[in-house]
Amino acid sequence: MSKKDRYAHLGNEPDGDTPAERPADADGRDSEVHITIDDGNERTTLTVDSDAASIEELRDAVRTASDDTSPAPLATGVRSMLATQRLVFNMGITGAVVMEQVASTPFIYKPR
Amino acid sequence: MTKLVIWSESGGVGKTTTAINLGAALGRRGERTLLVDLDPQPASLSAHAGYPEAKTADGVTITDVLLGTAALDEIIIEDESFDLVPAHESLASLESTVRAEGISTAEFLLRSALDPVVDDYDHVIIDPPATLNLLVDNALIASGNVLIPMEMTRKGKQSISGVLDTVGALESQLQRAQPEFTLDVLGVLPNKVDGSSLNRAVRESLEEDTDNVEVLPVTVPNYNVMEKAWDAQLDIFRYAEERGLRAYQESLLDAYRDLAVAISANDPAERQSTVND
Repeated sequence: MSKKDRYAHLGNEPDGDTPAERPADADGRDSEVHITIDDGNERTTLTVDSDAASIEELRDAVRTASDDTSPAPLATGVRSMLATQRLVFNMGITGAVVMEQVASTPFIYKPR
Repeated sequence: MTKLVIWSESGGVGKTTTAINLGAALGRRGERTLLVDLDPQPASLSAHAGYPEAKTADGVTITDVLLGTAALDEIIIEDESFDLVPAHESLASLESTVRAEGISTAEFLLRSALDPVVDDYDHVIIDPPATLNLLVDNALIASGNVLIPMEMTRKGKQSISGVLDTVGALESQLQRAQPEFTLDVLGVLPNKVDGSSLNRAVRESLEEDTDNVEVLPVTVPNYNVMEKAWDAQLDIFRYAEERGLRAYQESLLDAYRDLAVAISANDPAERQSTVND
């Protein structure tokens, strides 16, 4: 593998777009949604491209994610994120899911 | 604020001794300096700084910090001239862990971990392994600046092209997603120089062949007292205070002081004018 190949993935988001190619919001910012999850012992922040889901959709998805039987794609994606981060997530216990829309960062996860 | 990684693809060129002694020189100038050891092998910066036990200690480690389950300030050790983030043997399995867990931001873990503390320091110096791997990727992306120690030999010169290839490939690919990202080579540091004709010839040819890379006007001589300082788990400044140096060996202190001036200036033009060869 060449060094260019080694780093090829850094120039692409999962669907092949780059922030430079993607239209910015009306206020000129690339927007993403940060999800901060606090289970009482630790906090972690996940970032989701707002093209993939709105804040409201994600909030619903996080709530739905506590129901393991939900087949909703976003709920599945959120469950995947939670599993990845090895978080013990239970809305009834933690009670703390904070979402905010922020300026662009390189950390992008698209729940598909 | 300066962030830099001291790196070469060649082993044994003096990355770690450069990191600790530059850190000590900066600290003695009154500049707040954080050294980050990213090398999981036992003989790394943490051991040289006198904290070999940190590499195998239980509890929170740099690996936990990178994986986002602990904060960096939980593991920072405050030393005399600098603060230290010790490495841990568990770093050796970081790459397999992040791949297994599907962490898509694997190359950005250190940058995220440093964010909460960088404003507390004037300089952050990262010392990764020599072998190109995820730890090196993290160090390069988190710092954006590379200082390349080099033995002034033909082999040393050949290793420079490998670093430049890596820097160019990483910068160009990452700029597709982050146009503002830059990865600069601060310069090549002639290290372990013994003044032979070969050293001079290599330096001259390096300056001729690398148009875009500055050979720093600082020369670190090749004295075995550096190995004694390593054995004593002291930077060369503390070694000088505690054990003493012969008169000719004090040029080592001058070299690292000059390098600290160069890094503090952090401007190529200013570096040239403020550093004496």
